[in-house]
Amino acid sequence: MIYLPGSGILHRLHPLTKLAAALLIVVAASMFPSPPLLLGALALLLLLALAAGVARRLLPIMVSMFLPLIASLFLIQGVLFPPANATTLVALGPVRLTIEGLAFAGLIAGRLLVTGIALLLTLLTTHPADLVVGLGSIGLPRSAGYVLLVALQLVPDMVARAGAILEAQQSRGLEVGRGLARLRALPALVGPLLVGALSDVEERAMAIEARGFLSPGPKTSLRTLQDDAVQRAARLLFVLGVVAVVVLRVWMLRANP
Amino acid sequence: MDTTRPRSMNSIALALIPLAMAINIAIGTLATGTPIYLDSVGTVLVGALLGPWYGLLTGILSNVVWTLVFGNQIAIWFTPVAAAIGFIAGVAGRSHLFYRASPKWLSALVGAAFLFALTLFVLMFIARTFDNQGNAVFPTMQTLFAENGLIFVLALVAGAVAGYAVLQQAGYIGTIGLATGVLAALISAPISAYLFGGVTGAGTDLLVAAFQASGASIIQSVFAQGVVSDPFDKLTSFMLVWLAIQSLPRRLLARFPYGRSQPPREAAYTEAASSRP
Amino acid sequence: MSIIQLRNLAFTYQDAPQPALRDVTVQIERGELLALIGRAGAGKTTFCTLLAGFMPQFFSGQLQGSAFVDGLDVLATPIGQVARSVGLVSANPAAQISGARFTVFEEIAFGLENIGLPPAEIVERVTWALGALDIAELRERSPYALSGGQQQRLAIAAALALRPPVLVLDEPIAQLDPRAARELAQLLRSLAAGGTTIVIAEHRLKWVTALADRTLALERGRVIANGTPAEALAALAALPAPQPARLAAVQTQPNPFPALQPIVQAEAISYRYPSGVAALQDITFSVSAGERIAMLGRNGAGKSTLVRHLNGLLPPASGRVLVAGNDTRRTSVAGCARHVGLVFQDVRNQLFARSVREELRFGPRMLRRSAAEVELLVDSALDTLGLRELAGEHPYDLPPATRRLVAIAAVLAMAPPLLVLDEPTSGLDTLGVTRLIELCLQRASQGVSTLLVTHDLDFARQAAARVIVLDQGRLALDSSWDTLDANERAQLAATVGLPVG
Repeated sequence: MIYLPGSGILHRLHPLTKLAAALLIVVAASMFPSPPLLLGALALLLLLALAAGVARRLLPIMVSMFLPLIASLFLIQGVLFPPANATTLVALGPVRLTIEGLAFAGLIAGRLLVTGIALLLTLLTTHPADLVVGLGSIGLPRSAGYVLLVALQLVPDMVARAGAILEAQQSRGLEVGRGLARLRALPALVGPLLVGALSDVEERAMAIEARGFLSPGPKTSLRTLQDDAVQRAARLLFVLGVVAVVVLRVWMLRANP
Repeated sequence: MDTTRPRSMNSIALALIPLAMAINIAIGTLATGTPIYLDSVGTVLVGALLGPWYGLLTGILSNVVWTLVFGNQIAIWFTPVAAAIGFIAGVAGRSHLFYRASPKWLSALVGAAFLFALTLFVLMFIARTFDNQGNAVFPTMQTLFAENGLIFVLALVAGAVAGYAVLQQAGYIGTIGLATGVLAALISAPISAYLFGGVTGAGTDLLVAAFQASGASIIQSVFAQGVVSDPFDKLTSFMLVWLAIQSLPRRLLARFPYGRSQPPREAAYTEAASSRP
Repeated sequence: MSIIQLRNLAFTYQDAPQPALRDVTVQIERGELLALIGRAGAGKTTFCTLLAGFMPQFFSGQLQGSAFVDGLDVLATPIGQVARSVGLVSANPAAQISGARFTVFEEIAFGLENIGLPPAEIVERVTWALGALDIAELRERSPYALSGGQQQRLAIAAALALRPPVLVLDEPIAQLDPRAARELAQLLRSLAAGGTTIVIAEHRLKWVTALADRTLALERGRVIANGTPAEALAALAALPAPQPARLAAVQTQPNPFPALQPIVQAEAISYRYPSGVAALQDITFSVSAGERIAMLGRNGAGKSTLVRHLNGLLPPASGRVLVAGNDTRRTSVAGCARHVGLVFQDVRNQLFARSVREELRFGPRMLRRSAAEVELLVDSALDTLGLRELAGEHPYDLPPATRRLVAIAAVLAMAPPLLVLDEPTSGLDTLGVTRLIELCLQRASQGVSTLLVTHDLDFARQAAARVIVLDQGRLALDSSWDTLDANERAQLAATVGLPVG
């Protein structure tokens, strides 16, 4: 969970407003990945992160998430294996730095960064429970919302259990090697995780039943979201924007294929 | 008075699916340090126990959580792959393949056939040439076999041994796992190539690069890489679920619609057959 | 009219060879407090879940007789509807939280949202339940981050907030400390005085029989006593005792560690968590052949961290640990397992085989014992803990208490010179605890050692000869039970309390 509690401008927005804006950015950047557009969006998003007070948290996440990907991208597309017939910029023995290779890698990297930051800004400033309440208001079934909220909280639990299983089985003499050797140890490690989880299923299902989750009749919710007319109008605008971008792209493709 | 009634299905699914989604991520963590990702064991488990639609749903929701909660923006684009894995596992589950033990010779056969096909695929890929219009020209089977005879024999033997020793009685589910891997490679190649330039930041990127160096386009290289690594990944996931289900108590298995070793359909078939005049 | 009426009730789980309940006829009046006692597997949990409407809708099987609770036929009413009349708190509190809520406050509100109460009333009821269980200070904490005892109180609070006329509690104090258990008893008494009918299944006989108006004893699904605590306890005591455990000959292989060389030596070890907090500071002790040791200390005193040093799972930051004379930093965990067998508290993390016997084979096979040796070791471990008849059963088909014994037997089968058990008595019935005490004594008589990490002082007093107390990462006390002087007794009382026996 990467949510960062706070009360900045983005935190105060309705989850769907942020989600719609992020969607518009993701679609636009995917459909029209031109360098000036990407750079502009990148600058805008970083300013927004600063204004919302989440920049300090955003940067480390970006580094850990995008650095390996982008490094790999530049190395493979830009340096080691450039596209055929590329113009050489610098040659160093068998390694060639090519204009086309770098441009291609740059474009993909820019698009990754823009869509990634748009998404991260939404998630950093929206509590998952609010996100689910918001999605519920536009038709996400109650049970799907439940599944999402349980799964995300179970992940740290399961990772911890995986670690505990590793300890328990090593204590019983299981050698856990590296690489292929570790594959041989997998059944003794995955077995308790699956069997243990399945034995929890029964009790968790009993809890769902006993606490009336499936009982018919009206439900209420303690969590309420702040919304206003301006945000509703903005959301409509963003969604129309998404449609417009897609239509424009399709029209351009048909005009000059 | 026998009051056995259909089990309340929904609470079981509601309890199992989030656990399975968390398992996907937890086992993915356990598998770091191995050459495979193992990020769909939970999805396969749901398919095996609850059938194709729940398997599909688990695949979709897993990737949604990965993106919408943990900010992994790559995962959501590969949702179709995860959904397909869950669906196929579900079809296998509905056909009770997760309970059926295969003869070991079949496992050996499957292993040999698969490794042979894989070798053929990779050699074709590497040995093909280009004509002056830039179209790929593939070598004929005869030249391929003649030049690499030893490699093919080795592949057959290694595949048979691996099938016999590793797959053992999981021949049926192993075959499904391998096939799922090829399908997964097919679906993910265009996504990976178009959106991410063929890289995912993982070790398999080097394989993509190697294929690209032999003159292939990005999409072809990504597909080739997928065909080489995905079947082993999915095979392992299916096998782990097979092993877990083999060792589950009947009482626990009976909780799930496809959790019985006695396929009801077969029973009905025998009944119909015996009532025939 | 009685609020609970069971008539000639019998239930057999699907595929089970034996009925779980046989011919049960019981009436319980409004406002009555009923204690339900019996050995592990006697049918207490089945009784509780049946009252909450789970049979046969959730647990299918063969039913006979009738069951009415608060005017509802619980054998035919949807569970969601029964839930408004019967609040069920089952034995595993961690599995009872909804899992979908982020704070204790929202978690208690979950059930109230599901029955559609208006938010104002939800807030009012949740606040009341938080106060009743004395967990108001936890209201903003994540339900996942609570201790077992806190989760147990949360589960009870969540059931109470629904204000059910009938409250059914399955082992409600298994993870509560004595003070919390006393407070819960007071709360239950006042609820009963207010007209709530309460059924409590418990292993802690003293606590539950002192609290209840009436005590019901079950054995093999049958009611064998229904009346005063004395009658019920007498009926339980009159049951045929199981055969005493006995350590087979193969366990008594010549002890590889003559008394001169300790099995484990911890020399001035210190450890810091990755967060930088000191977990262990300058701890020195050793375990020799034939010792019975109890390790005591509050939660967070560093017990589990220290235990993980004994087989190399954690390397000390400074100092060193020698296992059979070898530094753990230069030996793999699997290598240490030959000398130090460690059984963790959560047995789910260990069990994965399809039969008890298969589970027990895993360890000795990992130690590369020959097939014949493996079978001898397995048989001996099965006999020691009285599991021989269950060898073909699936571990997960056994009651949780027996499952814990299987986990212990699985490590015992590796015949380690030092056996370390982390909280071995949690969830065990009296019989299981007796078996563990005998295990320790027999091992000691054969020159092999046992270290028990436990909160259960009475058990520690009976099973161990030596006592080690950890306090805030330091060794506060290391002495024999018999030679404790006044100072040491005061020290013990201050850190963990004193045993009753």
